[in-house]
Amino acid sequence: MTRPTENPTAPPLDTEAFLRTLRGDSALAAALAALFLSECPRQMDAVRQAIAAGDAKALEQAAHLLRGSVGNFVATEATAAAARLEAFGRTGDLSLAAGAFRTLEAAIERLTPALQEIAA
Amino acid sequence: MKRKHTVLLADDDKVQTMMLSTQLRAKGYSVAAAYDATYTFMVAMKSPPDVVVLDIQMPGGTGRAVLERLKGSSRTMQIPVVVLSGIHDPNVVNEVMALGAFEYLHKPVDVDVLDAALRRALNLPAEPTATETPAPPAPPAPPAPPAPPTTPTPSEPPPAS
Repeated sequence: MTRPTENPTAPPLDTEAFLRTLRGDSALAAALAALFLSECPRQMDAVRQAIAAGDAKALEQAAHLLRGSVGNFVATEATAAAARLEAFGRTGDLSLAAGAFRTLEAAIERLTPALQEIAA
Repeated sequence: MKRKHTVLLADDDKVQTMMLSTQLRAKGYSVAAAYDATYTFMVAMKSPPDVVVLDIQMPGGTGRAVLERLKGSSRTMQIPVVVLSGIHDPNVVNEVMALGAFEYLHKPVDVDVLDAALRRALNLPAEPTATETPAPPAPPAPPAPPAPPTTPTPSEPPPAS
């Protein structure tokens, strides 16, 4: 299913910019990608549970952590989606959070294989 | 850097922490990591580091509270705290600086920017930039042409015999 904010042609992360921040250290890139892939399900669960519970503060905290994590990979789409959820948590208005979470899920789904490739 | 300066990285983002730990170790620092506020304060009290790099939004109590506790304890109040945060709100920056932070850096941070801040916090000289790097030694000069034969000038005394 194609979501309105999804851009299938855009890469899910800027690999060159990511490697530049690591001074080209591909072994470190692989380790970071593997670490994120192991942490991501737990972080996504925390966001999902916060929305389900209507807990704005928990949503802000969980989305903030996820935003920082994906931001390390220069993953613009996922970062923007997490930032949107963080803002909902900060303002306390969660009325659009469920839709924003689906956008985040789609971004993470696109990011995952790219990170698996880096981690391999 | 002669002695390894110790850095306590306090951040719940494990990816960020692994990235910066690896990069700072490569620059000669000794790095410890803490992933929540309570553990950060505990480590700082048990083995005070030379400098703390602190995320102000962490589970187990906020980073702000850690900063307040670090600055309120005689054991840790002298430790410079560099705040590293994804929060760009100037009110938050002002609040944190008023609590005694040494510097406030925004995420994502380049390791050279963080290193420069740590050097300021530790009163270390800045790392030389590319333009300040000493030039490589010059290649050996070609052999000088043979000197023409000299004749003593009238003002010179004759060589001693």
